[in-house]
Amino acid sequence: MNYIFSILPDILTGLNITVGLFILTLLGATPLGILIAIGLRSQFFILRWLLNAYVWIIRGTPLMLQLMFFYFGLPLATDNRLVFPKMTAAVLVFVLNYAGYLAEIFRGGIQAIPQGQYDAAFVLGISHRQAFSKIILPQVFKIVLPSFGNEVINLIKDTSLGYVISLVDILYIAQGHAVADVSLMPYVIVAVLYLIFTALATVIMKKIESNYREWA
Amino acid sequence: MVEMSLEHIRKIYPGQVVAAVPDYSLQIKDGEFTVFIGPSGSGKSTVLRMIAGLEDITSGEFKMDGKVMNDVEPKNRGIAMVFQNYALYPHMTVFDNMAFGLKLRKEPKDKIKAAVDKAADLLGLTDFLDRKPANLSGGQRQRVALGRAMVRDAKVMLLDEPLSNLDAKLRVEMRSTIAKLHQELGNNFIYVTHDQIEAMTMADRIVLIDHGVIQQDGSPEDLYNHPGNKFVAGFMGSPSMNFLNLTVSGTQLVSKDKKIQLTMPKGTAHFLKERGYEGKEIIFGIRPEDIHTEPIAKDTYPGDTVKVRLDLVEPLGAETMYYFQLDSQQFVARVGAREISQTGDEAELTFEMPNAHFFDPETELVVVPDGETVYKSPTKTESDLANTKGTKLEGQKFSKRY
Repeated sequence: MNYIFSILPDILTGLNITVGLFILTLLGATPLGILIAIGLRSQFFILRWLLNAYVWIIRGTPLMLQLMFFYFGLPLATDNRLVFPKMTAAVLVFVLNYAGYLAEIFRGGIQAIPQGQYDAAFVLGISHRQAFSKIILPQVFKIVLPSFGNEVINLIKDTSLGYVISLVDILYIAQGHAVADVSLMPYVIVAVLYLIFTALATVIMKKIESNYREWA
Repeated sequence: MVEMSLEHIRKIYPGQVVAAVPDYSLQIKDGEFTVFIGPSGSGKSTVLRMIAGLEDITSGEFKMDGKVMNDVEPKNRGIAMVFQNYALYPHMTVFDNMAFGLKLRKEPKDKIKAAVDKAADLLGLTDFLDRKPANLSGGQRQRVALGRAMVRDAKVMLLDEPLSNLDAKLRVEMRSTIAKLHQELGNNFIYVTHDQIEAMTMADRIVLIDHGVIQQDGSPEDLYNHPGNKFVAGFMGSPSMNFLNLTVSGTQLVSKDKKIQLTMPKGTAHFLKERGYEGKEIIFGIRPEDIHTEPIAKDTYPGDTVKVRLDLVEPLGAETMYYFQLDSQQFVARVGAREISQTGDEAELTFEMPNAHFFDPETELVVVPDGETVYKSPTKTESDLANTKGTKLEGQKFSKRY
């Protein structure tokens, strides 16, 4: 028990990286995902084709590979002209990756809205932009909430992949203690922390879902 | 208010060869309650959506008060619309649903509240303004959709099968609500339905459409009592008109096997002979309510009684339906509620021949006495119409009766 309390403060110093990466990814990937989803339904074939290709590449390759390519590969490919700090690289890759997944989720949600909702808006004298932001999006959020919740939980766990570019998050610090002290306990502590985060995220998502349920 | 005209409107969907609406022309007078009616897929909703600006017009012109509206955005047409599935915004309260358009137009709050309160009062929604659509019944949702359209204060109200999702009792209730609303507002209502009871009870004018072509337009009485062709005759009325191919023989209408012989009034026999149908086949049509079981009917029309075996007797409370076969055609008679015949019984039925209708077997157009019942047509002169026998006048538009 003493051992746990002795290493816990050190592990918790990595929380700002883990939580920071999680929050920044969520804040960046959600609006970007919505924009890509809109683009995927665009009239312009070239834009649609490019975005479909982007989503295909993002969803078809592992996040770890994307991280390594971005952090290690880009400097190599550009003679060190394009070098990102670890946190910046991680946030950029996570945002681009999660935007690809969320785009598909939002696209499905947008497609699920009946045409009548758009028609009613246009006949009522509401512009396309207003119709989308005030009428369509709130309904899309309700539809995609369960899938969005899954992605949030995946993101909490995926933050641990920052380890591959030596991002000093809770897993990185725990790994140091595990090797130095030849103990499994640091890993157990990190596992418990992740479980607490995912439980918290699940409760929050359920609460949001129940708020939406009243206009089922 | 506003006068509307559709001039040679045509709609072809991309990648399609056949036009959904081939050539559609119509004038709609100010303040009129016009009902577009027709079977599923007839193009009535397509025409409504073109008026709303939700569908592009392939060719032709749609005008409001003489101004061409083809390329005008839906929001700038001065039109409000009520949809079949209500299309309410589930995340907004009843008040917000009705006020939303006004809020976005930055109208003053007191004006918005006054407009919503007035509509809510008229539609009996005052107690539900704080509820979300999920907590309303079908009828209440439909009234919210009507209220939302009302608040827009549009010159034209379009209603696309607004009652089709409601149960029978609610439909009756909502019919009177919509009719009252039209009286109250006095603006143009264009209403799409495939339910002829809705059309008959609410319309000032019915436009019957099939395959994007106007078959006939006129008052409900016009279409019911003076159908311009077999399609109109068969569509209007529930149960629909009975048809039978019979041969004209003097004052008689005779079936091929001579088992059915009906005596026509002398005037009818005379005009059919005059029009060259003597010895030829004609489509005879009679409505279920013009087939009687009472002895007095047999006394009045002694040569027009047939003996039949009843395939099905359907008591409906206020009336009874008799289903039977005549010359291997399914017939139905609407008789009094006190009739006590059973399925399988024999019955003597009398046809009220002065109310019979006659149609040309080739053109399916109504056969009418010269100078008596002529249908005005936008593309044919009266003399043309008098000589249409043997001419295929598909989609000919008939309206007024002289």
